[in-house]
Amino acid sequence: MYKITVPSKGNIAPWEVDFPSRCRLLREYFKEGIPIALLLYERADTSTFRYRAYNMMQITRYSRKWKSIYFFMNEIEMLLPYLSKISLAIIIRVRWTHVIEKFINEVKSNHIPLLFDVDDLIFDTKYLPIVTNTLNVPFKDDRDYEFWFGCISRIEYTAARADGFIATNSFLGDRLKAKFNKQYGVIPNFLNEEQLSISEKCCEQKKNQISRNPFTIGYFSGTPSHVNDFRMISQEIILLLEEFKNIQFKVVGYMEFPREIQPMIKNGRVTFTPLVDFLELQCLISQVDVNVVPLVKNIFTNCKSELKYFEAAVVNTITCATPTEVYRKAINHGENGFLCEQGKWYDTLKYIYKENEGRQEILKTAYKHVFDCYTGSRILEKIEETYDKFSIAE
Amino acid sequence: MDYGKLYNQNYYEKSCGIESYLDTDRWAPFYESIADKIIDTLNPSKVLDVGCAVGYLVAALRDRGVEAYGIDVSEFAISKVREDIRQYCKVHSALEPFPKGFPQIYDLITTIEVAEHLYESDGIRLIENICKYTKNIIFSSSPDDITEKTHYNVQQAEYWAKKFAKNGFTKDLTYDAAFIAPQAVMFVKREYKADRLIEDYERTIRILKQQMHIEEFKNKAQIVDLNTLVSSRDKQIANLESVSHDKDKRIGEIEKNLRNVQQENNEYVDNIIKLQASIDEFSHSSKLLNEDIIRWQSAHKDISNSIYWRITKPIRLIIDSLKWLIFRIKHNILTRSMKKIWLSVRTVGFRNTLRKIIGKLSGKSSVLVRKSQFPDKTDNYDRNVNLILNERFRSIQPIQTVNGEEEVRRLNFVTDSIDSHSLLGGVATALIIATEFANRNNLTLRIITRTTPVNPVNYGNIMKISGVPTAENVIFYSDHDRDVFGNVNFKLEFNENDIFFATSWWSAAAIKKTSPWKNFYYIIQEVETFFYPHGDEHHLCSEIMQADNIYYIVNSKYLYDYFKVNEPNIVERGVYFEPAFPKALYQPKEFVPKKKYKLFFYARPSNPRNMFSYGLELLEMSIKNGILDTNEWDIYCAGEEIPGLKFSNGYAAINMGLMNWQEYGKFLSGVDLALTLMYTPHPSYPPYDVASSGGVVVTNCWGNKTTFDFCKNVILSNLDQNEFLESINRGIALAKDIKQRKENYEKATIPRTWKETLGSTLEFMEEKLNHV
Repeated sequence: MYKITVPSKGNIAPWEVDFPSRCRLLREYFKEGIPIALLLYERADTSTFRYRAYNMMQITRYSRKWKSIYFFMNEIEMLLPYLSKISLAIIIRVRWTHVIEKFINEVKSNHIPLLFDVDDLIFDTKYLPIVTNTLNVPFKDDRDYEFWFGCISRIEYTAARADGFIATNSFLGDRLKAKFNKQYGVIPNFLNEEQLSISEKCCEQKKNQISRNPFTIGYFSGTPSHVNDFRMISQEIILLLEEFKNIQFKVVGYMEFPREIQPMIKNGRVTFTPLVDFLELQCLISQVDVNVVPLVKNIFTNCKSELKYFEAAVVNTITCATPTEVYRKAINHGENGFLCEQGKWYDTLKYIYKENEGRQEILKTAYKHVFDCYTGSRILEKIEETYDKFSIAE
Repeated sequence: MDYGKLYNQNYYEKSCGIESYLDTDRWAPFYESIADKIIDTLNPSKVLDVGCAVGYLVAALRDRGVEAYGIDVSEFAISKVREDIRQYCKVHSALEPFPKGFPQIYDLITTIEVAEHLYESDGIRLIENICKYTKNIIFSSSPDDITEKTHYNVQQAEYWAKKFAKNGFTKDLTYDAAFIAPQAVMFVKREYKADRLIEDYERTIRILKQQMHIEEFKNKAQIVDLNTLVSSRDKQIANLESVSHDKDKRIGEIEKNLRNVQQENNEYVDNIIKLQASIDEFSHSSKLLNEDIIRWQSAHKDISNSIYWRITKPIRLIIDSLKWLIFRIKHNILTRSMKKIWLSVRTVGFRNTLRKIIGKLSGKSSVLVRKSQFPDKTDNYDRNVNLILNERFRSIQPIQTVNGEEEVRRLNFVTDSIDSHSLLGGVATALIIATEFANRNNLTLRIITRTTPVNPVNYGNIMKISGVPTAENVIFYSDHDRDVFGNVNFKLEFNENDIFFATSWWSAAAIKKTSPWKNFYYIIQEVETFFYPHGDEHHLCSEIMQADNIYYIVNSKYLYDYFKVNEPNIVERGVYFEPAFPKALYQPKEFVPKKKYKLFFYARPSNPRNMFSYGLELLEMSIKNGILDTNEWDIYCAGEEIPGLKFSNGYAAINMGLMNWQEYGKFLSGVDLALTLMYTPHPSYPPYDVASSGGVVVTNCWGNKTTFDFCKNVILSNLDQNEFLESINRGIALAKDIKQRKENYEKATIPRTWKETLGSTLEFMEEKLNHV
């Protein structure tokens, strides 16, 4: 485990920019004459919104080809006068309402290409049983069914109105194409400046340290919807904790753990830290020796982004992940991280625990990989290409 | 005026604003952005920065490939210029001709916040001087900072414009130098007639006015928008306040209710305490009553057993009858009773009627009270049935499923557990077959455990020990934590392509309920009906043996031959294989005479088929009869259930306890003789284990199991005690006959690899693949 003190974080919600300011920016962009992509999201949050809207807007500031700017559902009425000047409208996993229908009609009447951006397999009710099963959703009564079917159907309905799609990876994109028979572009999730800045500070602290006991395995998906993911490795984690007394398992978040791991929780071998903001999360990830990303392996998780990998790599923390489609593409086993099927977690984590030398090379490779693929000009190029593709196609 | 002396260290640290001008981290990026903009807009090759101070702009331009120079009157400032560019910066007055060694012509000269530091006359000289060396000048001078002590000549833009105009330089109205400072401008040398100049200025004024107009309009529109927004927000706030007020009210009500409930609760607690006191009192009284009852019963017994009571019994009966008669006569019951008696006499006869009357009078009844099999519950009977059945037959609850991806093809291996203690010969064998089949047919192997969580590491271990590669794709699932009714949150993903593989009759029964329309495989490694007395389980198990949607994979020809006669359905729909015993695990240490030999008694006390007690008796008899000499033989047992065993001659057996596979294999390699009983057609694995490890085995015949053709070191005997003791004797002799024993071992035909033994089984399974 590394001792990392959380540096001054700055603004933990930098996307809280009021509507007038964003409008002002929009007008400045109009003046510059560069094409604009308008991103529409329901309301600000620190997960999907941050990655698919805020980060896009931030990075396109540096683009000379495209600018993007986000707005929210409750601002649609005020946005309508500006629509004629935008070049692309992108709705990000928004549930259908009459208001969004109005927006869509307005966009279409201005002959503006309309795209639907999504990062999960939540646009097709065919997959609802798998999705809810994986997320451990308890269906207690009709209201639960109504909620889930309603939610996904509404997203499906909105998606069907789009001219094309933006996905976080090609596996998800193929599912979109199969469902709606329309083109898609891939813009992966990536890191924003705030994450990079605080990660750099964490790395600075980390570089002059060696890891101290306890050797800490970090699990950063501690929410009830991930309990089935965790069960994929629970026995192997228990085996590891039983064999090595100075290994600890740290969970950020809280969820109901399976019965078999309760003794380890009682003995303090499994510790909990409450959910934190996205900046502090980077610090917590940097503290641990290895970041585990177990996942139930199915079509739903195959669509999920590899953000847990690059969030860890940028703070020099090794990742072990289930080899879903996306993680298999991001991680070359033994080079920039590890891929573990069920039955291999115990051996792999034991290897990482014992083998200190080899870790450094892997960390360097992963760190470089993040800067090559999940930040900066490479991402900007992808965004520009994708936007170009759809605006030219129109 | 010697300006150089003014601009010393103190000046740069304190007089340039809040931040020190020497803070590179603060100022360098600023000048870098200026350099970027200059290059972007003007792309000069040669630049001079007049009043360069510590050379930030010169360095930034040089870093970007521009030939940049700087001059400044401050020696201190020049001494702080970055080392690699110091040669391009000189201490020099801008009022003098430029230094020799510096270029005499520049594409651009910059002078940023310099002119106001000079007295007016010097300011004019500055302008005159720099205008000689270039045609483009970026000029910036503060128009309003009159507080700065070194600002000697603070003027507005038109002042400087006039000065430059005198030298033939006019402002470039199209160039926006605001990236440096709001007051920064670009002056350009050109021949300009007054009318042309006026035209340019008028145009600029007009455009600015228009822009102001538009901004004003937009601002007004924005103000309207904002007012609307504010108004709407105000409404929202008012609503929220109203909601908040309602919520406060509601909270008040809830708190009041809570207090009421707490009060009621307190009253309930008081009542409970009182009731408890009553119960205690009642218990005490009840205890006293019981004591009285016992005393009276004892007294009653004494009286009943006394001679007087027995002698007077007939007289007392007569008196009681008369009393009964008188009562009935008195209450007109007699007529009815007489009628009843008369009817009874006519029906069952006088004697039986008399018996009935005596019985009734003496208080005995011939009606038996049937005790309910189930506890008398006061709640809903239907729910109880469901609960009882689910508790009783938990092992055959179906696996709850959810529709999964259609494309995936899986072999679902269903078993209780793959924990170490469960991974005995049978489960391991089944896993090996399932793994081989999955690999051959490109199926994902899904191991499903029903009583314990998944333990993927054990799967890897057992495959390694068995010398079989793990499945290419293997995943794990468990519903061990399903509730009493079999419900589970995380269901098994399932599609029509899923194939099932049962490992016991109960897992087969569960699979039948999970997917009743599908055929599936079932590996049968024992006569499972033998596990149970005749009853529920026996019946359910028998049903499985007669199923028409199961393909049976039978462990060993012994079982298969037994089923031919007793369960022909299994043979009609099945195939058999012989188990293999890999050399990696089972091989002898050495064949040498020993001072003390090892006898392994294999039996599990909790497994009736192992005949633990009978085996013990045989050992005891062998010792007593001198067949087994404990001076020559150590007796070993294994397993956690075995109690400590001490034989009649004082010899105590050695218990190896629970061993893992490697330990077991190592132990067997030193075993010379084993006694293992199995009251079923299958010999069980221990005889194979021991024989494969070079030992001699004495085991029992049963049914069609009369010979062991794989190895002559295995001796079968009938269960008659004398015969068996004789067989033990032969076994001992053979174990000590090293040469013969070794020869038998070497000629043994026990399969040693799964490859050699599973061929036809896997082919059979593949034939049926389209039907499962």
